[in-house]
Amino acid sequence: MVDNNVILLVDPFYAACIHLRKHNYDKCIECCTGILLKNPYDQATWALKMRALTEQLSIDDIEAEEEGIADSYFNSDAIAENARIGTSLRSTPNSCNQRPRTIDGRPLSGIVRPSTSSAGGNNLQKALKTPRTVGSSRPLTSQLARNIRLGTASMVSQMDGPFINISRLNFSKYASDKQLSKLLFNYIYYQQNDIRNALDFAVEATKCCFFEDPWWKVQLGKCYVMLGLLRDGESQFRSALQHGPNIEVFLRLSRLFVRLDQPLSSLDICQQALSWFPNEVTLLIEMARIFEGLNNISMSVKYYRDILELDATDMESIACIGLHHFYSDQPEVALRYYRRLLQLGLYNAELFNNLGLCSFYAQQFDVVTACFENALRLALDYNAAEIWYNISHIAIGFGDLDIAEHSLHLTLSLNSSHGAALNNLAVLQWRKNDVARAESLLNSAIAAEDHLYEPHYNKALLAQEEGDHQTSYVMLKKSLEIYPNHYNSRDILNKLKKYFSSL
Amino acid sequence: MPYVVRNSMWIDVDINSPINLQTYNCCMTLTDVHGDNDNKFVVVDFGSGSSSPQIKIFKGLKQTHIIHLNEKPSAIVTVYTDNSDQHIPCIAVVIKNEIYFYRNCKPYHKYSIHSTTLKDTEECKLWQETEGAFDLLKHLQVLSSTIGFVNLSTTSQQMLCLNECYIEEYFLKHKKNKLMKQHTITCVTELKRNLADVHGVSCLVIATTDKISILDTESFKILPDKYELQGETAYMCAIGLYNVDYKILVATRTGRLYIFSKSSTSGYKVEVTHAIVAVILRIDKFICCTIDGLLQCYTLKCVSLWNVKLPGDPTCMTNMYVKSMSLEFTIVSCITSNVDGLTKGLILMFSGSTIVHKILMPDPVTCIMFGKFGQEENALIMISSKSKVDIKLLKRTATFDLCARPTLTAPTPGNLSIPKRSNVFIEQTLREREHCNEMHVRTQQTWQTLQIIVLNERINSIKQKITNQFLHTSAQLLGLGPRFKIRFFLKNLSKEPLIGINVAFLYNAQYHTIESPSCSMPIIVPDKEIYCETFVTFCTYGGSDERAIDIVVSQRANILYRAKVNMPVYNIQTNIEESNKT
Repeated sequence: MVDNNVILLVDPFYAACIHLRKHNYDKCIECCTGILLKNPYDQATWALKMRALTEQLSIDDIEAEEEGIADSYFNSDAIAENARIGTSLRSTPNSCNQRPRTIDGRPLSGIVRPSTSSAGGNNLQKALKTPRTVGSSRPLTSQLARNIRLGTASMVSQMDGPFINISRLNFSKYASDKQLSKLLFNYIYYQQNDIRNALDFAVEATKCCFFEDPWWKVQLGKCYVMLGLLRDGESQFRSALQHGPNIEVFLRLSRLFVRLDQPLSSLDICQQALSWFPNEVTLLIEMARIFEGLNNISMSVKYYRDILELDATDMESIACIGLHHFYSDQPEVALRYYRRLLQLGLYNAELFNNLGLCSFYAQQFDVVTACFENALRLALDYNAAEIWYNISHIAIGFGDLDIAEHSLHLTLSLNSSHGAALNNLAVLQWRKNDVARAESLLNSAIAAEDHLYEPHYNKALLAQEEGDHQTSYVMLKKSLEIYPNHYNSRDILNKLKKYFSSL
Repeated sequence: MPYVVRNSMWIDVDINSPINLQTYNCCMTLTDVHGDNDNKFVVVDFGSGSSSPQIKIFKGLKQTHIIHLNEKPSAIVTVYTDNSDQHIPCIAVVIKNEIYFYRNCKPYHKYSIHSTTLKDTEECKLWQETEGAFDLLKHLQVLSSTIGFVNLSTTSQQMLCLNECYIEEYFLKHKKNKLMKQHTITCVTELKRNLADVHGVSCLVIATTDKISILDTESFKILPDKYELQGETAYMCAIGLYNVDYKILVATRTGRLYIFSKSSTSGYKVEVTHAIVAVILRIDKFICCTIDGLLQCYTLKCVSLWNVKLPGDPTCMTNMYVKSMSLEFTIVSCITSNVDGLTKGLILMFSGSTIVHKILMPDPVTCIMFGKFGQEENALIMISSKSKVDIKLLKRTATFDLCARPTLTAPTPGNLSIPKRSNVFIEQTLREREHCNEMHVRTQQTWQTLQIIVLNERINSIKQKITNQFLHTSAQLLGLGPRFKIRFFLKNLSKEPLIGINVAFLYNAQYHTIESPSCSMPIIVPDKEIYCETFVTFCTYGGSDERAIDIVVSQRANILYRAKVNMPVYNIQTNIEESNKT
C-alpha cells in the first residue's frame, strides 16, 4: 500500500548532494559513479560529480600565485630598465633599512607568502640559487609546477581512467548550456589543469552569451594570465569591471599589475576598489604588501594596523607589525604581537623561534630557552637549521661560546650553505686561533651567499693580519659594494690606500 | 706646530748656583715688596721637612730676606692695604686659622678666625657622658660615619687621628673643656676694592671649611658677604671690584666648581668628573684643568665651551698676560713620557683651545708663575719636580703663531633614532626588578637543559655522520628536464690530505635511475675543493620523501658522512601526454 511504503533508502542523488554539502567528496564521488554506472547519460549526476571533483582540489588561486623562474627569466615583455625610485618592485632597496636581507637582496618580510621566494628578475644565477622552502632546493621551473599537483592527483585517484576525456568534448555543445558550462569550465581549469582547452571553451562560452556575462570575462582573463598574456588578461578584467565592481576582479587586476612590475598602478586599482568597498580587508592587505615590496615600511605598517582595527585576527598583519617592531629596536612590543599570534592558535616552530628571539632581546631571559625548546620540538629539517643558528646567537649573548659553536655545526649539518652560520663559525674558530679553518670557512661563506658583506669584511681583516694586502683590498671593495656605509671597511681601505700610495 | 727653537722666543736665565725650592703653586707670588717698582719673587720654602718653613724673598737671583714661620702655611697672597703713595703691599700668609700680614718684611698684623664652641650637640653629650676613652673613640667613629668627619669638632677630629697610646692622655686633658671647632682657612685670594689698578686697595677673600668670606684689609674686619658651599675649597680665583661687582670661582677637591657673584648668594655650579688641578678665571669664562688630562673651558653661566685633551698629565696651570702684545694665554705644565719611558716636562701655551707654543723641559715642572720679575716684564718662573728653579724671559721680539688650527671640540652627538620607551618596556623592567631572583634561577636552569639538548643533538649528528668536522660538502642540482646532473662538492678542512674517499649515491629505482652511482675520489689536498658528478633521470612520480637521494661518503670501510638530496618537483605531465598522442 502507498501509505505503508516507507522509503527504505535515501535517494542516491540526494545522498550525493548531502555528501557534497558536508564536504565528504570521496563519498559523493562514489555515489555519483554508482548512479552513472546505471545511467550514463544522467546530466545532473554528471554535473554533481564534476563539481565534487573540482571542489576536492580547489585552491585559492588569488593567494597562491607564483611566478616561476621560466616566466620571470624568459619574460619578453619590455620593462623599463631604470625605473624611478619607489616605482618598481624589482629595484634593490637602499641599505638604510635595518632588516637582514634574503638571498636576492629584499629585506625580510614578516610572513612567508607564496610569492616571496620568487626570483629577483634579472639575474639568472641568483634566481637559480633561490631556495624553495618546501622540501626541495630548487626554484620552480614554471608556473604550472604547483598546479600540476592538481592535474596529477586526478590521474592517480581515478582507477577507471579519466572521468572526462577533454580532447573528445564537444565544446560548442556545452558552451551554450548555461547550467553545465560553468561547472565544466571549472573542472577543466582546476581539475585537469588544461589551460589551453579551458581557454578555447571559455571563448566559445563567451560568444554564446554575447559578451554579457562578466563571469566568463574573468575566466578568460584568468586563462590569459596563466598563459602569460598579461595585457590581454588586463583588458578582460577591465571589461568585466564595467559590469559592476567585484572584489575578486579588482584583486586579480592588482596582482596582474604587480606581475607587470607596476606597483603604483596596482595601488591605484586598490584605491579605486576601496572607494567601492570601503574597509575591505583583502584590499588593504594587498596594498600593505605592495608597500612592503616598495620598501615603504612605514606605510605598510600603517595599513597593517588599519587591517587589525577591522579584523583583529589577521595573522599576516600581526606578524608583519611584530617584525617591524623587532627591527626597530622595540623587541618587547614585538613580543606582545607574537604572543597574540600564539593566543590565536598558531603553533609552529617559526613562531616559537620569534618568541624566543624577542624575549632574548627584551631581556626576559627566563622564557628564552623554553621557547627555543618548543621551536626545536616542532621544527622540520628546513627550519631547524635557522633555529639552531638563532640558538647560537643566544649562546654568544650568554657568553657560552662552546654551545654556540656546537649549534653552528648543527646548523651547517642541516643546511650546508648557510652563509651566516659559516661566517660566524669562522669568527669563532679565529678566536681560537685556528686561522686556517677560519679562512676556509669564510671562503665557503662567500661562495654560498655572496650578498652578505660580513664574510668579505672578515676575509679582508684576516688577509690584513697575515699581510696579504691585495686580497684584503679586493675583499674590502666587495664589502663596500654591498654595504657602502660600513665604517670599518672604509677605515681599513683608507689605510691600505695610504700604504699603497707610499710604495 | 711651532717647535721650540732656542733663542727665538725665550731667553734662558743662567742660574749659576742652582736654587732649590720645595714649594707649591699657591705659595709663590711675584710682588713689589718694598714698593720700589722692582718685583721680587716671594716664595715659601718648605725645605726638606725637618726644619720649619721659611719665606724667601728673591731680588733677581739673590736671596735678600728670610722670614721664619712657625708652622706650615697653606697660602700666600699679596694685598694692598692702603692708598699710600709708596704702594707698599702686605704679604698675607695663611697658617691654619690665622692670617699673618707682613709689610716690608716685618710683621704687621695678625688676623685670626675665632673658633666656635659647640653646644648641645650629640657630640657634646657624648663627651660628657662617656667615661672611658676607648668607648668615646668608638662612639666618635660611629658619629663621624653618620654626619661626616668634617662636621665634628676639632677636638674630636684630633682624637680620631691620634695614635693609640696618646688617647687616654688626650681624653683626660680635654674632657672638661668645651668642644671647639676651629675653622681652618684653606684658600685665599685677592679681590680689588675700588680700582682695577695693580696698586689698588684690595680685600682678602678667605675660604674656610664650608664658607667663603671677605676680609676688609683696611679695618681687618670680615665684610658681610658670605657664601656657602659644599665641599672643601681647594682653589679660588676672583675678578671684579668689590664695590661694583665681582665673581669668585671656587673649586673643591671633589671636582665641584662654584661661581659666586655679588648679587646672589648661591652660585652656578659645574661638576667635573675628575679632580681639579688648577683653575683660571677670566672676565667672561673660566678654564679648569682636571687630572684626566682635560682642559675644559666654561662660560660664567657654566655652559661648556670647549674641551681639549692634553698630551700628558697636568701638574699646574697659570694665566699669562703679555701686556705689550695684549695677549692672554693659559700656561699648562704636563708630564709626558718619551720613547724611552723617561718622564719629561712639557709646557704648553694655549690661546683659547689651540696650542700656540710648546716648551720641552728635562724634568716635569710642578710650579709655574708668569709675571713681572725684577725689571723684566714677562718672566716665566718654573720649579721642577726636582726642586730646581728655572727662569725664562720672553723676548720683546717674540711672536706667537695664532692662526686657527683645527681643535678637538667635544663631538656633538648626531641624531640617534632612539625608539620610544613603551609601556610594555616599563612593565617588563619592573617585573625584572621584582622577580630578579626567580628569573635568574630559571634562566640558569633552563640554559643548562638547553646545553644538554644541544650537546645531545651534536652527538647524535656526529654518530649519524650527518656532519663531519673535516669535510665541508655542498651539492648542486643542475638541469631542467627529466635528466638532471648532481654535482657533489667536497672540501677538506683538516690539515692532512684525505685518501681513499668513495662517494656513493643511493636511490630508489622506481623513481630514478642514476648513471654512475659510485665514484672514487682522488686525494683531497687540505683546503681544496673537488667534486664528482653523476646524471639522474626521473622515471615516475612519488612523494617528496621517496624522491630523495642519499649520498654516502666513505673512506675505506668507514662511513665519514651522509647527506640527503631532495629532488624537486618536476612536470612530467606534458611528456606523458605527448607520449600518449604519439
